[in-house]
Amino acid sequence: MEHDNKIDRTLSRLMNDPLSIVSILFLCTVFINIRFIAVPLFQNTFIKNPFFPEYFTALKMGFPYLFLGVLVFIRSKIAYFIGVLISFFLMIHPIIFAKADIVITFYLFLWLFVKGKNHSIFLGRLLISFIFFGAAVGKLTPEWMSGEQLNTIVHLRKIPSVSLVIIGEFLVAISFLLPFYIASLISIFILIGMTMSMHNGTVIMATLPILGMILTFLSIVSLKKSELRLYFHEDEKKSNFVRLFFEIFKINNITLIKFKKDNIGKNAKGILVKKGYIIQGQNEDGEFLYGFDCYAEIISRLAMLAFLFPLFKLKNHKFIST
Amino acid sequence: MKYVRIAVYFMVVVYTLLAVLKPKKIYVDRFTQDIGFIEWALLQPFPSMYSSQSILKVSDGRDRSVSYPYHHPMDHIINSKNIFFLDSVSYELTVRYRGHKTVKRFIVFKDSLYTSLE
Repeated sequence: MEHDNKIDRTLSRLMNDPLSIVSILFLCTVFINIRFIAVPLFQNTFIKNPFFPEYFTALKMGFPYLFLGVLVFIRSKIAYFIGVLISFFLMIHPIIFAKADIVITFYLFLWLFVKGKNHSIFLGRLLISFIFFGAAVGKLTPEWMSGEQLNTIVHLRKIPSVSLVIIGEFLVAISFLLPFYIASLISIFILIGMTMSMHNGTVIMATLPILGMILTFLSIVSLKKSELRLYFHEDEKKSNFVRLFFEIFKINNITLIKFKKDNIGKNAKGILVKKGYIIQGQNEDGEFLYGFDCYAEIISRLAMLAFLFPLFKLKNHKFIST
Repeated sequence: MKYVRIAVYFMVVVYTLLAVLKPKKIYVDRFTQDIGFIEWALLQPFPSMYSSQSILKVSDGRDRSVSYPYHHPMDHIINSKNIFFLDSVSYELTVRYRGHKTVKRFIVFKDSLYTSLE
């Protein structure tokens, strides 16, 4: 019984924490990356290079790298600081040689470490822009502009136009200056495009953590803290599945109420409460919500899924004015 | 923590200025390792995905030479132990960025790397 409670508590904590998105996506990155670099990471199979101090190259970085996947779930400054140190050591270790995904890991932990209680979304966006700034500015060379260098990237599925690559990276580079929702949408679109354009998920280890950060920012901004009451249909066969979902995850700020005949009829404002819905919501102002609007309000209270709220509100075009 | 946050903003500004004012250090010297280890380590957090043009000519000691374009050519050399099962392999690395160009020769002999600037 106690064991079940522990599982419930863990699931509940995950669902109520917007940082879970970036943590889960980063954990996926670690597992994908291990597939490529497991042998050198765990066995230190590389050629001796006098450039690196000897004591430094003796360090095996396999377990520290796996440990990053654990650290990202620990909500503590010390854990994040250790994450910054490990990712920095990985970055300068001869086994990694500043692979793009490890550089991004470093910035992810740096943001987690400095973000504070207000989450410093602007700083997070600036770091993402900075990563792409280096890439975009660096490509303004005659070799890149002529397309000569793009043709040499072996992982591409199909050679895109040079201007598309540079404009795409440049847009993410300036995204911290653009309105939040528009910048997020553009960045997500470009990151997915980058991932799709490469074979075997070659860049997915670099794009997933950035995507996780953007979705986390969206969730933090969209998350509502006001109470929502959910009324379930009295027919348990109809409402059992959704009820189970909320009971397992114990979402903050959502009160579950079984539909009673008293609730069906007229609400406080005298509007007819519709009988056909499995769940109906009632917000803090006593306003009843049905269908799409109800699901949008539910989503906005699930920290892990709140990033979808702007999409739900797109139907009413309300998100642009927020 | 406020000061750490300011330091991060400062870091971003410094790296941006370096990329614009000292591009050779960021886009060339970093890849050919023509700077000290500490300076090199401090430059590693700068993201320059596929910006520099790096061409690695690999010669396997049997008069065969193949050229490869690489994002991080040194990464390839250092981790190539599992690729070339030979006692001696020589490399010629060319890194180019705008007007800057460095050619460097490496020899791998008995699991150790030896370098010489041209």
